[in-house]
Parts: sequence; structure tokens; C-alpha cells
Amino acid sequence: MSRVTLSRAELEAMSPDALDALERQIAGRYMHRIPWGAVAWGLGNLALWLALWPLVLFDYLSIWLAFPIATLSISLSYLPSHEAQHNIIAREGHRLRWLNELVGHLSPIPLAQPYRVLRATHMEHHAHSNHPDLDPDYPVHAPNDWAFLKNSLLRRQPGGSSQKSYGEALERTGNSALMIDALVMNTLFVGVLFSMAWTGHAIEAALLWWLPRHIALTYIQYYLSWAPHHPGIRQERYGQTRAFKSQLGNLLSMGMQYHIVHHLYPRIPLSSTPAAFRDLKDILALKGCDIGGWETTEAKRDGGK
Amino acid sequence: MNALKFIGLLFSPVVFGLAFFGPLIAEMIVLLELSLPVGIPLYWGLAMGGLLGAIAQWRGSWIWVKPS
Repeated sequence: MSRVTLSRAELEAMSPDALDALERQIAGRYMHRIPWGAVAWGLGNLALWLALWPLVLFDYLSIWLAFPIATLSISLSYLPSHEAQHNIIAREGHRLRWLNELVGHLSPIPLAQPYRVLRATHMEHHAHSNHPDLDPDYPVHAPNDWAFLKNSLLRRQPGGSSQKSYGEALERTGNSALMIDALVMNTLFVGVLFSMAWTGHAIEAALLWWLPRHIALTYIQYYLSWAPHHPGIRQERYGQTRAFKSQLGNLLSMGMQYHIVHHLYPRIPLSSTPAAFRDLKDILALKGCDIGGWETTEAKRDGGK
Repeated sequence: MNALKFIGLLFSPVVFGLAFFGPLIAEMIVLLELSLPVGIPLYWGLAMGGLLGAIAQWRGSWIWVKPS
């Protein structure tokens, strides 16, 4: 059974348990696949970003060309680690577990974010999505795009609260020791910036890491946190996130149009969430999810007549 | 100085302003071929970076607007 075989009336006629079972059955088709694309993306993207440094420093590549490449690369550096955080590449005990952890640790280095901190706080985000006190990503919420941008910039200021909710989440979950990971990563980040600056390469450091990272953080927060959870007022399983249509399309919105699938079934790889959403959207609409203007199968069929 | 104070100092806006923005501003002065009334670009960079850092330390913001 799939979306194409059942009308809305037939779905409505099903018992809640049968509907749940069908939803799980459909979602199950997209799990238990090793996302080799994400593995190649995570490791390849890091290699690309690292390669920019010698290419620029030895004058093989203009810094003005390297800057947008670095910005794109750092913007793309989070998601492979996100796959690893959810053990999608390989769960504990799997023979490829080492690869899961390798991608998890290495891919977010350009963002200067430690994997274990990202994983611990992200699990809290999933457990308490949109909860004002318990969701570490809750402070990202803002009434509209411009308010998001202002909030994102202000939270990153020295007196801002960007790391506060993450620190509190680590403390609450007994993971305070992971603050050392954050300290090491931040020391590495400023250490590289300072060293480059005092050896005559401040502009290179600014345009290969410092500024691209700020742009990437804004972009990632917008598409991974703000947009899929806006307006961030529902906390129940089928309401804590939404589907939406991005004007930039699926690739430039980093696949987040279908983030609703990820929150319901975090083991589905990012690359499979569009197909899973297409198969699940009729059920999700029936269950009260905000499917963000995507037509249900029946509406699409009727509209096409 | 205990460890926490050292960490606070290492990540303070004043240190960032002096250690990163200072040389960065100096390089930009050279790149843009700006003429200086006195001194060398690094001194100007350090003065401006240090001032920016001090303001950021005082205001809690690099962009003047205070976080709420």
C-alpha cells in the first residue's frame, strides 16, 4: 500500500492504529540505507575547504574567488555531521560505526563546531522541539525573516545568548564535560585566526574562515532551525515542525522543505526525505501536520483533470 | 590568574580586536593604498581594532546595537 493506492476517504476510514502502521510501513522503506552521498559530501567538502588554504596562500587561486567557495563549503559542512548525529551512516555496533563517527567529527570542522556538543544538544532539540526552556534551538525563533536575521546577529554578539541555551542543555543532560570539546574547538578557531593574522595573512583568514563562517551560521540557522519550525508554537509530534516551499528550491534550502519527515523519522537519510514526504504527505495532512502548501495526492490529481 | 579568567580573556572582544582585527585592518589599509598622516598601518590597525574590541567589550556588541 502507498499514497497512490489510497484516497483520502480510504485513509480517513482507517483506524488510528492502522493509519499509524501504514505510516510506519511507508517510512520504513526509506530507512536502513547507508547514505554514501553524505559520507562523500562530508569528507569531500572538508577536503575542498582545506585545499582552499594552500591554493590561496601559494597564489594558485584568487582570494576573491576562494571566498564564495569557502562560504558555500562551510554552509554545506553541517548536514553530513547531522546524518552522523542520528547514526544514519552506521549505528553503534555496526561494522561501519567508525565511519559514522569520522564523518560526524570531521565535517563540521569548518563551522568550528564540535561533533559531540552538536549531537548532545541536537538530541535535546528533538526531544523538546519548540519548548521555550528545553529546546536549545528555541532562541532562533522570530516572527519573520528580518526579525530572524536581526536576532541571529545580535545573539552572536559578545553579550548575546548564542551559546547559553547549548551550555544549559549540556548541563541539564549531564554532559557538562563536553564543554571542553567546545573550548578546544574555539581555541583552535581563534588560534588559527590570530596566527594567520600575525603572519601577514589576515585577509585570507577573514575570507576563508571568519566571514564565511558567520554567513554560513546565519544560513544554516535560517534553513535548518527557523524555517522548518516557524512559528514554533506547537510541541506535539505532528506539529513541532512543518513542510514548506522554499523560493530557492530544495537544494539551496538544503533539503529542509521536508524537515517534517526528519523529525518524525530521524533515521531517514536527508537524500530520501523528499521521496518519503511525497509518500507520506496524505497521511501527514490527515494527522494535522502543516504540509506547507504542498498538494495532497488527491488534490493534485483533481487539479490536473 | 585562574584558568577561567584566562579563558575569558582569550575569548574577550579586546583580545580579538587586537589579535585579529588589528592586523586585518592594517592589511586593508595597505590593500586600499590609504595614506596615513602618521605611523605605520599596523599601529593604526591595532588602535582601531583595540578600540573596536573595547567598545564591543563595553557594549556587549560589535555592531553597537545591544543584544536584548
